Amino acid sequence: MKKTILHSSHKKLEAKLVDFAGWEMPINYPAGIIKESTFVRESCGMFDVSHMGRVEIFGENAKNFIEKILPIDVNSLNTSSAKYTLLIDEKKQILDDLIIYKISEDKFLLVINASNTEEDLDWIQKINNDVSINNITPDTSMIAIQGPRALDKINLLSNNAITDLGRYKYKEINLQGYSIFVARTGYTGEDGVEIICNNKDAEKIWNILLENDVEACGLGARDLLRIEAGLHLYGHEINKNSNPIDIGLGRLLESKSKNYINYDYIKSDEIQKGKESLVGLVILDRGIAREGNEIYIDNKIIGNITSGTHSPRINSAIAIGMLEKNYNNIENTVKIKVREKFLEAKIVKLPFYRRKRK
Amino acid sequence: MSEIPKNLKYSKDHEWVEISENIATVGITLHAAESLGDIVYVDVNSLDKNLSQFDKFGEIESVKAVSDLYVPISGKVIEINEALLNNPEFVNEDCYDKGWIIKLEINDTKDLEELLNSEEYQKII
Repeated sequence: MKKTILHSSHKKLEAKLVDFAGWEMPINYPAGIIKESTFVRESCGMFDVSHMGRVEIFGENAKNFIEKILPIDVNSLNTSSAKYTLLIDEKKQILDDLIIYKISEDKFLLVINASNTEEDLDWIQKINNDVSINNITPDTSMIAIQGPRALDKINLLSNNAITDLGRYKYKEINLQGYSIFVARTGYTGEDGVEIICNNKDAEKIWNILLENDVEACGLGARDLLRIEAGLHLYGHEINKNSNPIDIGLGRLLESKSKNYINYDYIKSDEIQKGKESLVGLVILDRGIAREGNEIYIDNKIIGNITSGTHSPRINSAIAIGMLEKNYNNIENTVKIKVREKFLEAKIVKLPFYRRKRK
Repeated sequence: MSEIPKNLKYSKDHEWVEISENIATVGITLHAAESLGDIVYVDVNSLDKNLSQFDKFGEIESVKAVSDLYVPISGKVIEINEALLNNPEFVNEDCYDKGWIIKLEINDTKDLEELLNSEEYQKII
């Protein structure tokens, strides 16, 4: 199994390590998933996300290439800014969801899912004929620092270097002598940053953060937090054959250019006439509905659970599910088949949790 | 490492049992609690039922997974730890004391021969 540079740091903290997309990663530390999720909601936690793919695209035709492969309006993406988007291949299959950062007119950075890195790169390389593609994943580390105190912590350690950093913006800063890339992005529903640094500095930066009361959190807490925040996870809410509009990501299809390989598809009736909707479900009975469980109304299967967990914020089990569109009525009560039992659940609007804005 | 009390007997399914006269108190081991992680539901649907050794008596569910619970000894389920229904985290905090799950009324202790002592249990985890 592949290991991140911080692997020994996780072991030192007595993390429970599991296989995640071929990487041995911490699912939780001794505090446990629930406490770790609460650190992030109430103070500040950090996650080693070095397993995620980091790919640079550069060269004089880079902007044109990005316009060709992603549904973003590339002209509205400014330097030092980031955007969440989808990678859809020429067969209309969604290969991944990702964040693109514009470094300059001729350089972009893509941060992609660990589980899709290889397939994404294969496809990007297949389409490419005039840009340089550099997979910097093996040379760099990535840490997400999330929570209401995250920005203060980074400011404290960097002589207030990010007081002016807006949402979905990034900066190169100096943190206690280490040069890092800091983006105000995340995957928890809290404010916070994601940093990328050189491998040789990763452990030192991790330790500085630990010394400053940033709690180490595992991928279990990250999953719980993203479900509460109604955020998609590839392989669960997003699949190869998903219709982006059905899964609530129609807003990402912003391309205005016929240079985009799926321009006709994103403007087509086919995509507009979706059949399903992604919904939130609050479980009213005792028990967690999990991925794959069937959703029923009046003894008829109307959909499936894509993700489920227990939320300490909602104080009950919650789930995200995919339903036939005409059953997507808020407050509709459904039954979810969990093993031999049927659990009653209420359809709610996503997200389950929204942070208070300052 | 997980501490394993010497005065208890253990099943291979990671339940512990403590015998006091004709009452058997049953819970899950620290090793089981740590593997499951944060427990969020404990459900027992066998109150007043007579169960044979290794019959299912309920389910325990954590954020990560759900697991069946089996009685390590034959007997009648006479009490459920009601406090666990609202405070399932007791299993993580103190699985051998306030995290006990059920009490059984037992007729004899011959089933204990099928169980492991603390040293034998240590070897299988």
